[in-house]
Amino acid sequence: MKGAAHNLSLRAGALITGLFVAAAAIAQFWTPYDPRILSIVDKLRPPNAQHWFGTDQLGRDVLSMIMLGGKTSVGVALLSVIIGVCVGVPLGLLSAARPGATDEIVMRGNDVIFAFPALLLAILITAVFGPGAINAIIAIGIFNIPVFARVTRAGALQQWTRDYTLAARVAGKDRLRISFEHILPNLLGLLVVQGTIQFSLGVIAEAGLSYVGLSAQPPTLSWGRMLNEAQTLTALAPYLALFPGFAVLLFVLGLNLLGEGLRRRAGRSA
Amino acid sequence: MSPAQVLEVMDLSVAIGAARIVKNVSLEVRAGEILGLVGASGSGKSMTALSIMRLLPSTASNTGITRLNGEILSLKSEAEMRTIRGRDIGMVFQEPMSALNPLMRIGDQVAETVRSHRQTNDREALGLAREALDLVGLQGEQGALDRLPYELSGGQRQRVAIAMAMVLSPQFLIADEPTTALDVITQAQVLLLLQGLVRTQNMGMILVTHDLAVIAQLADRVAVMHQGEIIEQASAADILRRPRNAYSAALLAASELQPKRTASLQGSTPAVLQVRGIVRDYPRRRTSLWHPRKPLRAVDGVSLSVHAGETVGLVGESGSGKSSLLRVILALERAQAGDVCLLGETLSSATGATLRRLRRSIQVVFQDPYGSFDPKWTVEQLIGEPFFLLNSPPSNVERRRKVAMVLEQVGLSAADAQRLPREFSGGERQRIAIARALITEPAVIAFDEAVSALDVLIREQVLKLLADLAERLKVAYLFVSHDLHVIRAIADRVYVMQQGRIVEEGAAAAVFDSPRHAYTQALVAASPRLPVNKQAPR
Repeated sequence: MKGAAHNLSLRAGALITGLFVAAAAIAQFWTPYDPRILSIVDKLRPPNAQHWFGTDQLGRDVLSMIMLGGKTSVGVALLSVIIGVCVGVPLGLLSAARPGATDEIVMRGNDVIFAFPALLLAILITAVFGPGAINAIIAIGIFNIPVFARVTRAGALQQWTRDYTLAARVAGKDRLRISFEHILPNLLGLLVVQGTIQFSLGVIAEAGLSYVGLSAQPPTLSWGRMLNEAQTLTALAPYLALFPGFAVLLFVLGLNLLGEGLRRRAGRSA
Repeated sequence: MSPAQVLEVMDLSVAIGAARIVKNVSLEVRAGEILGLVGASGSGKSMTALSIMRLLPSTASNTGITRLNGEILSLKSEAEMRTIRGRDIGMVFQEPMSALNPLMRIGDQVAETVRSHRQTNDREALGLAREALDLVGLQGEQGALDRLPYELSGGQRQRVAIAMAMVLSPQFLIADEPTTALDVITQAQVLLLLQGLVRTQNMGMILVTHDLAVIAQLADRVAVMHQGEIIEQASAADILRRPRNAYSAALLAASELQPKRTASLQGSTPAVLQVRGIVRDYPRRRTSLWHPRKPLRAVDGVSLSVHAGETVGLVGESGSGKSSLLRVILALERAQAGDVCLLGETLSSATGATLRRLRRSIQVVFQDPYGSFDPKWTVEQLIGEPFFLLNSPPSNVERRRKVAMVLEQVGLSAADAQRLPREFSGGERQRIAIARALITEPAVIAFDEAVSALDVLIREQVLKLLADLAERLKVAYLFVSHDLHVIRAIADRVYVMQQGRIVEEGAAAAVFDSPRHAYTQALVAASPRLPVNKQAPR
């Protein structure tokens, strides 16, 4: 085994993920058709040369809807990972740097959050603030916090056993400063891998939340709601459910492959 | 007539990718004979041992012929090799804990080896296991069979590992650094055990080690390996007294550390570091709800002093409390009682600005040349880290100049400053660690087993460097080690530590040449030594 050339999962994962992220980015500026314009004449066309993925019951182009749905997916998953990292990582570092009471309080607090499934949390937030993409981001983000806190704490505790942390303390640095100057940079690989995994979980969670109507509201498009709407038409137009379903499947597969590939590469360099 | 040849290796070469790790090695071992395979790390000695067992990593390829009692091992299938390993050839590794299954009773572990090779019932297998444990001095009758690995000491675990290797009475034993992870006294016992087994069972044995003193004690013949080749092969007595090859001679010279000639300066200079009555307890898990917690007393009322420009050695086995004491001295941990005075000021209770100021005067070099640097930082950043202790850290130009200066003091070049620690060898990393300790111009540098992880040739160079720096910079050392030779070679005065207490102290020569305390006597007696062929100048 040498180099990234042999790391098939890394390459395949990067390719698939790149494709979806690129499609979502392009959708920001351009889609083949404008899905806001309804055309009843063209309704329920199966996939053809004009509409690669066919059209829905309102005559909207499914490919364009998938691209815009991908934008929602990427946006929600990315922002929720950022929330998880920004809160979870400092908590994990603090926990590892201050064993004893602080560690205990932080980690038990995490356990409490961890006990709530993302869906339950989303329902809770929706009940208070009303449905919307922002609330999905917050719900999934809160779900991500304990995950990042635990991974960071475990990695940091391992780094604390190494003598360079003692050397830094002999150089007069306190534990928090060492956490950010020495330990965090050494955890980056670990966090990138975990970030990829949480990203893929975020995509699934967003699809689930929008399926039950707790995420982005119309006119914002999302894969989960497309699936929900396709449900009543499965006999008539099965492709309406297949394409968003496959989009979720393929994107998550790509992200998992990417995460696995990154993990393997990190394992080799360590 | 000489005894029968047990193992023969002809023209063995091992390659990993394009790199040739072992080159044309030929060996033979007779019944009842111990062949010592000695060399620096990376010389290919472990690879040679592994290729006899056909246990090379899958990325390696090898050529050559290995015969065991006339049978050609190189032609055996993997299935045949599995029956040969353990039955005909036993193997003992360096780390006894990782060789044992932590969740399995040791009797069962030894018996498992029997069961995987022979069709026997459990009782028979356990019976053989008991015999094997008896053979290695772990009394099988007294419940030893039912104990778990964590209940045993390092030496006992290594005995279990030897019992596992011996249980099927193999004709050949390969021991790869079997005592490197053990204490001096335990090492002496395990070596004696191995030697006894080879003689009484009339086995052949290859002993792989980096330590010539171990070879001197045990081996009949020695093969010296260097860069994958056997450069000299002769009887142990010949090699240790009249090495013909230049590299073997260098290895031998580096192993025979010359005792330091001490200028009697103690008392003539003021004490820079004074440690008085340190007690360090660690909380232990409650054993019972009704009894109060009994703390583990790692350091029990230790006092010592280090005078300006003096090198003080602190000797003791692992678990004797040396490292705990050192952490208290470095103000990394607080002691339950006692105080540490540095340059007349109390370090152990200092806080804030005073602590920072005092810390400039005491720095440290750790054992592990790999773990003691943040792998993401450059050498310049690492060496400059103690500048954090200064109230006005030097500007970039000044900082660079000072880092370059200390790098040159430790024998590296200023150009190394921008490189990462992984680009350096173990010996060079220890030099970087010394440079980091020197940067604040401390009065005392503590060394925690600082040369224990180094090969003998490198160790000699680093010790020379340290002696030279002490001379030029007038810095005092507190040198902590389990290795008597190293302490003898560098220290003016020594303290011997056992179970948290200092049991003996005095001038290095006096303590080691005529130890008074029973523990020191045992330590000195157990420490493997090379035959003295030339009297050290006094």
